[in-house]
Amino acid sequence: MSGWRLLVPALLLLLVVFVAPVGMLVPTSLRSYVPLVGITGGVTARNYVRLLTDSYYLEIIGRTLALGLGVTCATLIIGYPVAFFLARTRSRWRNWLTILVVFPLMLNLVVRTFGWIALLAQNGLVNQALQALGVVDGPVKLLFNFAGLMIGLTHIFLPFMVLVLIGAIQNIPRDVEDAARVLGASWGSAFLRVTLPLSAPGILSGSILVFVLTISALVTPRLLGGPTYQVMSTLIYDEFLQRLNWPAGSAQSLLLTAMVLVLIYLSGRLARRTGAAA
Amino acid sequence: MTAARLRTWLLRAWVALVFGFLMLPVVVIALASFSRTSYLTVPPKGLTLRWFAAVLADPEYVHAIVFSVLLALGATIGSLTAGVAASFALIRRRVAGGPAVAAFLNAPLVFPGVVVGVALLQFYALLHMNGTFVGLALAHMVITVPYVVRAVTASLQGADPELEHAARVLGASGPVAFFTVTLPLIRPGVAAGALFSFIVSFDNVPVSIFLLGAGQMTLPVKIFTAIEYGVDPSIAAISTMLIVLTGLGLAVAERWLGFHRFV
Amino acid sequence: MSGAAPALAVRRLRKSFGTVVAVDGVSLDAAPGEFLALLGPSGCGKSTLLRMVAGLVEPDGGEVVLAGEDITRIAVHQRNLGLVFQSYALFPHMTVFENVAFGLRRRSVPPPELGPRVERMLELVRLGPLGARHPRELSGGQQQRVALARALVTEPRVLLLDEPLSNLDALLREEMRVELKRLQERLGTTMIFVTHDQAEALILSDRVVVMEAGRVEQIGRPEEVYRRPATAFVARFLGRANFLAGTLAEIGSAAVVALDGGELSVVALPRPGLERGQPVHAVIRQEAIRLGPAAEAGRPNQFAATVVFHAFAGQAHHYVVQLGDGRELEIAAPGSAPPLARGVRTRVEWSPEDVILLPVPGTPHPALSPEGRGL
Repeated sequence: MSGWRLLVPALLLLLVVFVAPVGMLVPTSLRSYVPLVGITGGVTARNYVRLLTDSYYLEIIGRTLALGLGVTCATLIIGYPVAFFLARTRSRWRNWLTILVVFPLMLNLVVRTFGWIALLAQNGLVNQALQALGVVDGPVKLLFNFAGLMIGLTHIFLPFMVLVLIGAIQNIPRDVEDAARVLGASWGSAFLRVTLPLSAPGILSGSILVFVLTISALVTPRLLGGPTYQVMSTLIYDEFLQRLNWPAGSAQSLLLTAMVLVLIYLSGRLARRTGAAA
Repeated sequence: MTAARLRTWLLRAWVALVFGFLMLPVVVIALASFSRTSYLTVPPKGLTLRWFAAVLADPEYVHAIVFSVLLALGATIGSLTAGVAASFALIRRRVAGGPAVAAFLNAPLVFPGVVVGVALLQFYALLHMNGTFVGLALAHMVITVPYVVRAVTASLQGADPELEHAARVLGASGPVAFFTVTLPLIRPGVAAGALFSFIVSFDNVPVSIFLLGAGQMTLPVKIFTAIEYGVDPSIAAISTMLIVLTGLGLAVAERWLGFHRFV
Repeated sequence: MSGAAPALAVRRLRKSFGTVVAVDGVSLDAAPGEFLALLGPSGCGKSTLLRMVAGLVEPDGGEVVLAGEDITRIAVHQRNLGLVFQSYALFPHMTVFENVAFGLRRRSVPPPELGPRVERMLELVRLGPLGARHPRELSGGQQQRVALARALVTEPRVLLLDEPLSNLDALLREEMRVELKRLQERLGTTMIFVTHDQAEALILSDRVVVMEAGRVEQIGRPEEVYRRPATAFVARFLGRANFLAGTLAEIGSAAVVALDGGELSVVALPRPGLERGQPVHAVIRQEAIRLGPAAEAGRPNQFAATVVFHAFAGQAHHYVVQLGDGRELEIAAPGSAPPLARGVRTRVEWSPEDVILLPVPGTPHPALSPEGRGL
């Protein structure tokens, strides 16, 4: 059977149930919503203008992007050594340890986030531990703020970063590091000049992945941030289901989509350039 | 050599800490689900299984579980069909713009789930398909197909195409050669894809929450909305059950499929 | 052993991986400027030995001594040795120039000196104009030469090579052997070369170390390990040979081996350390057997034979002949000679000097060559 015929079911599915509906958000985003009446006809850019000028929205957008950056950096710094270990270790537990990294990914997101609620609450384990150790006098606010979201989202997306990095580090031929050492490079020098540059493509794709996933996240920010500390996804959620303002929600959705698409495109360009140098 | 030893131990310590960090919420929930108190407390005060019993006896929870399973099964069967065919086309057939198609099929992985949810909310409203099982299943298939394609592709790339050619020379037609030779060879990839698909569908919230109709409820959405109203150990109990099931499933998958190859 | 201090010596080096003993108490020396080949089948421990010398693998016991200095505890990057990897291990993200310059930069060689040194080395390996290319743009042979240049530019005291030619096709391999020898004579660097290819070892080296199962079987010059192998393993590994089992019947001015089966005897030169009545193998190399009508009567080791197999291989005729007692011998005759067809009855003959006497495996045998077994 020819290639195209085999591709039809999957392509048809994605085009009809994915691309078309998202495309149809565009006309909706250009409409207005009148409370208690519904969506009115007529084309207007009001939703976009408000989104990009009103400080309420700008704060949410800024917070979302800041979270993306913070979580990406955190997962990279925390995860690289782990990925290095798993990629290079000859221990017979290696496969099971990899599964252990994957296990949280397979676990229900709600369940994982729920665990963090228990941990980060005023009387949760983290606060209990901090007070017991004498680090702080009273409970620290770790929920419904940036810190809580940072911690929770780092936890959720750390396995993604680790898995991508493992792949990248495994692609570095072992001998190249040995060669650097025999040629006189100390361990640190060999790491900085050989291992790190050669894992750059992996660092890039892992970072883009985690960044995009972070700014798209709904469940974790909603549960750890509460209904008042918003990010873009929770804003869209409320816009559609609470305020019923589908036009505004569509505009917000398309803005989020645009951000994701731009990032993917940029990463593709960068990947080709660093790939060419590697 | 001591510098190297120190490095090794520091690395191991870091890895252990990170694994501890990753497992922390899981352990906390498991502990909390046994608490005698009616609020969530860790370490648990007293041990009881009553929360587990309460959850399993609650008809709403049971309905949510059953519905989630059926939905996940439907989505998995659908995405397996579409995904295996697509993988085969991409790896074994020459398709113009192959990499672009592969990237397109991968798109739902990084696309914001919430946008898919709201887009389909509107789309189905127009088609009067709101709250239909089929609509939900199709929506889930969109987000699970990429996982199937990735897993099956990984298996296909490792399978020698000459085996299929040998079968055809021996007299098997295309489809027969596929089902008797290729499919058994890629069984691990298909199984891994099915497992991913099931779990992703079962766990999904951002798409499901917008599309559930009256009388429909999935387990994660139920837990999600339950938490918004206030936490109690029954949530911890159902969570623990999910943790155990997932862990067992993963362990079995690793033992039988060498699952670590597909992540 | 030569009088000058060895450039490199290992003493009783040991390494096990779990229950597998990779290197079992190996000792050997390399003289300054010598080309030493470590020869053996896969898994014999030669690569592990090399990596222990380089410092990439930590030995379980023993010492590595470089020009009289014990470097066993010194870190890899401070040993100033050169290592050419089987996979070349070129840095893919650096140009050829940067690859070769890497070692010099680690030694803080100042730029005015660094550039010319790299250029000179690239000229030496005939890669002069390719400095700006990346490894992936080069052919296998060119990558190999970059690996060589990179290892040699730092003027290491000893150059280690781990099967550097095994990834090249046959023609390229022969060219590179010549290059390597030329470089070595030009620079005078002591080289230790690991290979499983016995022809390569014989062609390139001043001395060969034959290894098996983590131990040294024999150390000697190429002619010695080939003509006077110390053990059956060395005899079999270095070339094709016929093993005739028998008992040592007489020792005197000549050694006579009565072959099992009672009919035939082989005359060899006497060797020390063997006793009358001892079971031995009389080993004769394929090319040492002459095929054809008898030249003079009365010469030893003449037997009637029937040709049972013949194949022409260009430089040689390969024959299998059957002797009177049913034994078969493999013979390699010069290709220029006229062929003998199957079924032809003829004679075979060989000189007593060409017979290698080896005790049957299991019984030790004293040194056949001055360097002996490297103990």
